[in-house]
Amino acid sequence: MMRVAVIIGSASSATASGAPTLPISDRGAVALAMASFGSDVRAYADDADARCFARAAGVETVEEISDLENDSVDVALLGRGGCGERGDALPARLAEQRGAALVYEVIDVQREADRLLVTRDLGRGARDLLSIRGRVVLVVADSVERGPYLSRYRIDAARAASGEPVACNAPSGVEWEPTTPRVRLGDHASRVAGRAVERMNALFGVGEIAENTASLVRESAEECARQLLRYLSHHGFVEHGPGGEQHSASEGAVASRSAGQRPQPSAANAASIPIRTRRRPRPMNGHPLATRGPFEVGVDV
Amino acid sequence: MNGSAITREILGNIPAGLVAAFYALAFGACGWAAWVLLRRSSTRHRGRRPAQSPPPLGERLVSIARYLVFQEPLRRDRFAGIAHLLVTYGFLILFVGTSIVFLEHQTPLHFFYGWFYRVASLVIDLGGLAFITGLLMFLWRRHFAGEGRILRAWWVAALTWLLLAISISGFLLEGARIAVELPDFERWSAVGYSIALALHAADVSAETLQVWHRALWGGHALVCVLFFALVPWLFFAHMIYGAASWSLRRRRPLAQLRSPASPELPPGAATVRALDWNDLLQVDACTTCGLCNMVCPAAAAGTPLRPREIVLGIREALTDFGSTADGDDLPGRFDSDALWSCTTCGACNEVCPVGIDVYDKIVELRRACVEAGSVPDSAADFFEATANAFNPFGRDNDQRLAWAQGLNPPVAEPGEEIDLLYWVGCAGSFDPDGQSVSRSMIAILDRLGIRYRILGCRERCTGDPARRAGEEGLFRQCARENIETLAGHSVKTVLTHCPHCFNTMKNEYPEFGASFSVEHHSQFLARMIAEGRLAGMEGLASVTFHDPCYLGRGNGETAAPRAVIDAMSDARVEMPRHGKESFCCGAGGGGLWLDVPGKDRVENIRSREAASTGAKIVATGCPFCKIMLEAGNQALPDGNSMVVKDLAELVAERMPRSGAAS
Repeated sequence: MMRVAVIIGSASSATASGAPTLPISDRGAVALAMASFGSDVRAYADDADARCFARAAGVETVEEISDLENDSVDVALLGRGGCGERGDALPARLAEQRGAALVYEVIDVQREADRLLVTRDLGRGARDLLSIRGRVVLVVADSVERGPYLSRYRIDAARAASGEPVACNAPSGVEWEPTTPRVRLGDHASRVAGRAVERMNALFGVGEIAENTASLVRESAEECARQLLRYLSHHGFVEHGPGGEQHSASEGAVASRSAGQRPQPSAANAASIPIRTRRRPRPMNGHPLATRGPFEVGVDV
Repeated sequence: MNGSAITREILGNIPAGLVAAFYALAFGACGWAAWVLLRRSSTRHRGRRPAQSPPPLGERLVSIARYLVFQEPLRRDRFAGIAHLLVTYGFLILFVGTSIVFLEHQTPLHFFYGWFYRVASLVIDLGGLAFITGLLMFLWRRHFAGEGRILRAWWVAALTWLLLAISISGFLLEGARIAVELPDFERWSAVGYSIALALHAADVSAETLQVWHRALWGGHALVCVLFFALVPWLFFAHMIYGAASWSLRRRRPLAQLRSPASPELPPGAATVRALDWNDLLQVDACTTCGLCNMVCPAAAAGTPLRPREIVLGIREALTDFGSTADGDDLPGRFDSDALWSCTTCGACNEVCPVGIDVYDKIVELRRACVEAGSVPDSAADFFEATANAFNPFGRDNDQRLAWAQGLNPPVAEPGEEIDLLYWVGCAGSFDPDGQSVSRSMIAILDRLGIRYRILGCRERCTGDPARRAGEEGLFRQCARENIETLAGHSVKTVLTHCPHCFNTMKNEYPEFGASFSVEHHSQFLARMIAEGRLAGMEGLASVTFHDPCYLGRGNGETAAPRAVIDAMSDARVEMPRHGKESFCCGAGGGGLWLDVPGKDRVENIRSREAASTGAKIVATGCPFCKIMLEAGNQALPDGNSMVVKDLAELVAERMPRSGAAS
């Protein structure tokens, strides 16, 4: 039987409201562990809220993180919260102590007969596919796909069942992102549908031409280049530069926007909006050009 | 002629063995039907006990009687209503006529002769004629009119054809019987006598008529027996369950969502067993008329949702449930996009002729999806935003007062008692379209000199979008927190411009201990106009009013907004669908954030409808509707042809600067 540990730090210091929330990568680690290993998973967490989250997600055995040192595991999954104040030292120490492979920026894990297929996010849409035998420590990326939603009822039920006292500490940041009323897309929805590559091709008139040619850029080379840079920066393919897309912060306290424009964070809120609100490369769904591997990684045990 | 001679020999010419066989089969079929009904009932009773007790039996019986006599729910569709009326009354007359014949034949009673016989014969024939006319109208609509909403299933048409076979064979049988002797008093059997005359004219011999009569009687008896046996099945069952479902229909406001049966159990209908008896009776009552599909905004926009198919899917699951212990995964039977397309506008509930709460079931299915963790990302986003930031827009709640800069509305001090609380709502606080409504309301309240307070940053989402999207636990958390805050201020009245907040606080919060009254701003403005405190606002251009679902259909308030408009404009025009039959804007049920792709968009459909009136202004009384209609307005071919305004904005623009302050 494979012994799997998921390490998820603290949930009590995440939100401006004081409501307990785990970092995205911690939630992703739990979701990946449960999807791939099910009942084999044990969870280790720093505080009661995080332990409640793990129980609500279906983890049967939940321990304090200090117990981890005494436990022997074959697979360890950590989110950024799991690393927490301990930083990268924790995964490194776990890997060293157990003679395990150490993989960062993990976005997917698939369990096969005698190995794990691990997908690692290299950024800009590129990925490595690793085939791993033996012990491994996986550090989950923030760009991991969202796991199943855990309802308030499940969390409350887990909290009631645990009987642990729950304390919500002072906030230090937020992990949720402002939601956007869908109507702001208006009839432009079709123009932003599909994969980024397809839309870029359509925009510049290469590949399969979009049906709606109104969105094609028919301008000078300079303007086309500017649009291309704007597009690439919008999707995180290049860093934001002077020509990159800028969020427009509203000038006054009362937000104003022209019709059809999507609402943007107000200037007052901009500081509190996490990095997650910025665009990242979309998942490429195994696009052959974007994924390398599988590379064999193995530590015999 | 002696009066007692004016009658007929019942079951004459029919061999005793055939009669005995008929009675045996008929009683067997009835017994079988009763057994099936009981078995189905016991399957339904494996569901949950309803949280609310049913109305008293007397009230239910009166309701059933009214349903049968007046058929009010069928008046929406005039053609179908008339056809159904003809079929129902015809069926009842034929049923009574057959019962009279049975009593005359099988009991010592003797009354079926003389004038009673003549009149009864006439009435029964007219009833039969009405019955056939109604059936032919149904068949014409089904097979020739090409109405899209009709369910093209053989088992639905089978009932109509079977009933037609019963009625036509009955008339032929009567004609053959009369034609043997052709007595003059049988003229009162108008249809049968006409057939008899035709047979007589064809010179059919008495012996042949007797053979035909016997054969027709056998055929008639056989289809009747078949009908008895099929009554509890499929479409036939609506005759029994329809009236029962109607008598148990909701008494609460349409927009008020039912709470889960027990807070201890996981919310939602993960299996059929998690639905309550009434829900299961309702799905059995579905007539498949398709009115719900016809009025559904999500269906009109081309999303996968078809409310009728949800109901029929649950019915199918109920049938399968009869042979399993717990029932299978109920939400898994449906396309998840269909479940997340519903805007909870309640049009399906409103239009259903047998009182099925369709959208309540969709919310139950959504609750099950939420508990299973399978929700769209956009739903998870606004759930998390509501939980963590206390508003579904995900904005920092400390910025709730940003909209009020320069207005300085009075924010309640902790513990301060409040007579009138202006509840701004999340859209009113964070969305630019909603913010202008809030600013207008503050201007109106200030100019009227009304003493009020707002909660500022202590205001939180009421939980309406979360609840409609199935996150019941989150809604309960929001409700508890808000009620605690309001109780801390001993709030007497809450005034809000958001019908969603209005509905939730007025209808759903009392269950959690709220005891304040709630007023929508349209009601407040209409009251101010009636009291003469708002005047001199005439001269507004042509206006059409879009009824927010949660105000008009959901809470029955259609007059107040119109009174406000009429005080400003004498050119109010109505859209084809208005009042309680209004068409949704697409924002309800979390629709402001969810976006299931379809061929069209609900808001675009509604905006086109508004534009078709030729009105310059589309007024509404809901910030969500305003956001959606604004977006729909932009999508019109000529773009920006109309101005979308909230009632409060119109009033604030037109009310005199030196308003009659109290």
